[in-house]
Amino acid sequence: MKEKEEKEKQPNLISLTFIVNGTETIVEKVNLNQPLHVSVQKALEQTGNTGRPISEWQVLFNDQNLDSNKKVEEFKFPENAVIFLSLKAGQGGI
Amino acid sequence: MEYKESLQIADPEVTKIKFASEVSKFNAVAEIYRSKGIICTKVSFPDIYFIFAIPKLIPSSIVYSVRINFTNYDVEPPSVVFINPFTEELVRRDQVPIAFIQVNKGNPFQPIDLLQGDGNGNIVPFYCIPGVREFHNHSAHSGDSWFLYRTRGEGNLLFIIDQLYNHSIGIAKGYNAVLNLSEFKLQIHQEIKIKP
Repeated sequence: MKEKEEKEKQPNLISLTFIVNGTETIVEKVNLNQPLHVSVQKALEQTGNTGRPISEWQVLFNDQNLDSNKKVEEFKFPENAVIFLSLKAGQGGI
Repeated sequence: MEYKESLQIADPEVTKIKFASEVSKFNAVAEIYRSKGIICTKVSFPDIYFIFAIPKLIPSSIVYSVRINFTNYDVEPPSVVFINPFTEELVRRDQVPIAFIQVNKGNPFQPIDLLQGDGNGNIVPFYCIPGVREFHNHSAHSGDSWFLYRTRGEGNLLFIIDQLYNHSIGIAKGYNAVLNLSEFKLQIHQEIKIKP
């Protein structure tokens, strides 16, 4: 009930679930109008992954690479969306 | 094919605790990974076994299976070997029916297959990225030590699983298959083309 009331009060704010290198974290109060990289940065901080720049992380939803410079609302995430942050692999092969 | 096991030189108790921690982190998100087609089939220290399937395609099939070995972790990174999901025997490169694509920074038009090996069975196929034991043990990467990556994210269990997935079945969009059916000595070849 409270959640519903809060949603009505702040329709621009949502929560996003991230899996960062396998660790689940929820970023609360994400403004739909802010770029996704703001939430990505928060998810990295919440999981203690602050040692690597954001450019070294791959942002994936439904196996699609997301451009984290776009606004959150542009992705039209469903309610139970899970966004994966994976480190980009170093150059492989021999 | 010969697989060289590492010698346990780190304190086995430390490796056991770190292995348990990696398994526990995976278990916390196991259901989410299962929905992506990544299923843990066995945990037996120092090994953990996975199958990788493509749930978004119907019929789904097991595309490959791996055994990740944590001997000597994390003085050494884990080892990744590709196995038959039913017998757990090592497989040759040509028995893993998928490429593990990475964009080649030197030549973007010629992507790299991260799973190295040959069809003769002379080389155990190995997943060639930093954070995997076989990469760091290879003579071509003698200047790229594991200790440059250790504790930075590479080499943990979920990093390896993500890298296996992201470079293969994560980018698979469809497949072709041929079913060979035999009934009363009648051979029927049925081609099925499946797209998600």
